[in-house]
Amino acid sequence: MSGERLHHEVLIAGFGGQGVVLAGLLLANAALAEGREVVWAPSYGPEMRGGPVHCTVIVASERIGSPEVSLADSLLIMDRASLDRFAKRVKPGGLFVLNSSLVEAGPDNDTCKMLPVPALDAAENLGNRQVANVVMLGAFLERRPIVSPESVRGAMRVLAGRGYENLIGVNERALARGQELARESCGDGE
Amino acid sequence: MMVARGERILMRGNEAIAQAALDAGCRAYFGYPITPQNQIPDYLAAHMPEVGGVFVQAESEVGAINMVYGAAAAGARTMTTSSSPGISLKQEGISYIAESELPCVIVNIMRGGSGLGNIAPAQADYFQAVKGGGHGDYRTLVLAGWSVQELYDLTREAFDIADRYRSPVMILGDALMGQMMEPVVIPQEVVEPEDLPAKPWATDGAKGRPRNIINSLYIEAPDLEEVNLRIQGRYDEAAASEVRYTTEHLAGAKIALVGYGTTARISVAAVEQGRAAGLPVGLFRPISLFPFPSGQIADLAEQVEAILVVELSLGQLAEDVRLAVEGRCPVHLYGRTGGIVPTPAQVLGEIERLAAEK
Repeated sequence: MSGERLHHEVLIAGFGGQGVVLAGLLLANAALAEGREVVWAPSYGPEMRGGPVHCTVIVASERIGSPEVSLADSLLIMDRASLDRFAKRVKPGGLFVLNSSLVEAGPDNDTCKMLPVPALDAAENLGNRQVANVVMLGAFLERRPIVSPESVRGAMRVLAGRGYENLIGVNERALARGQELARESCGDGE
Repeated sequence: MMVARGERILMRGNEAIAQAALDAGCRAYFGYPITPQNQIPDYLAAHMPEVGGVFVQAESEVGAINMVYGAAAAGARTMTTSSSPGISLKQEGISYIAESELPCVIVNIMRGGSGLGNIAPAQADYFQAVKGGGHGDYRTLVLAGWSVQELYDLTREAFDIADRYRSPVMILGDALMGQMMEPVVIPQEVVEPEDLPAKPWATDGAKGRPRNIINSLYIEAPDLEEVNLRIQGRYDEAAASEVRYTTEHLAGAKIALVGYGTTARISVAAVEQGRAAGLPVGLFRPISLFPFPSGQIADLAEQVEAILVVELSLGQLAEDVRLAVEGRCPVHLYGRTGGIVPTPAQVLGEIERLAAEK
């Protein structure tokens, strides 16, 4: 991909505990490792544990102007409330990756592409429901390969703090499962 | 765990500011928590002890700034950080520090105001930062970055500037600049406090020399005027030596945007979109807000047909731009407030509207 001009804005949204921030950090660190320009920005509010949370990641080959994402190229939506909140924060033709375990129907938007991913079910089948975020990330990257899965796996090693190395394996399986689900999906995300 | 040096790493703006203070030889930090700058005290609580420095979470903002006053008087490189309402509380102390001719670094990660406001990005403390803030005839030297890397670089340099002019230096950021992560390279070279030039005026024990006095009370008017004129002279020196700015796409521009920090980032995106659409537009970005690049903006006003000031406040930066332009060209304002951050498309809309008026 290097050499091609890239500017992709991603918005990831869910509720506290779903790994929204971590999914964004994995993406940002993978982009960093590939020498990309990157801006990661969190939602910051008075929310406590369990409240709504989102973050944005811009991955680009050129200098990034506005660090704020107004309309995203891709949305990763972890829950129904986030769909309601962010359904319009997408560019025409953008991609919705929907955690279909929790979000039954896509938004009423016929210009966008939908990729439903039963991320929570997949995570439970992998034995750890906390990796639903990484299933979503894997599915997204299968459709929009703005960073390589290898770089995401590298980012897992950067971000797994001491004492959490044992979780890298299940996260790697979650990433691969997300890629599989995207390949199998009958969604119109191409 | 010490920071990885000499390679691209991801850091929040707030963390980069904190690391810059350590790398500048700051060994005395005093603060009081407030969103959206809490990663600064969080980072320094973890890392200041590793370099043998002092981290104090004070009882209040007022306590913290007066601890800075004391540490600066004793000759230490010292810093406090806060966000808008907390910076208001510090203003009395900043005035005392300025009149006492003491160097220190103050960081304001601005949030929506006035009052308690909110915790979204804003630039509405511009007047407070550049015009004085507290009572009396002083200014703070003010620097504003537009990337995490620049926040690191400017914070680090702020300590040198503070020492050079014996003045508080303020780093002006906002909630977005503080919270976002970008690649940053932290250099290998760091400043050790023992390598810094001596401060012969410091109240660090008078063994073998006459005592020093740090004070801001001058009962006799001629004495106070003398001090104030000396301080003013330093601002004049700073105006000659410390003005910083950058420009983007100004060659052939008929409309020049002026903005700093977050609004400069949004503006450069709008400028690039405008240029792609054939609009003759560029950006002038002040980095030093005091001293202000007045002469450069006056020159700019001779070259362009109009200036559009983009700010997260309602005409504060625009006022300084107008004072610099002195009527040479029209100065328009696109100001948003209350924590609203405009999109590049909205700024581009303002550019298109101005271009159509021609």
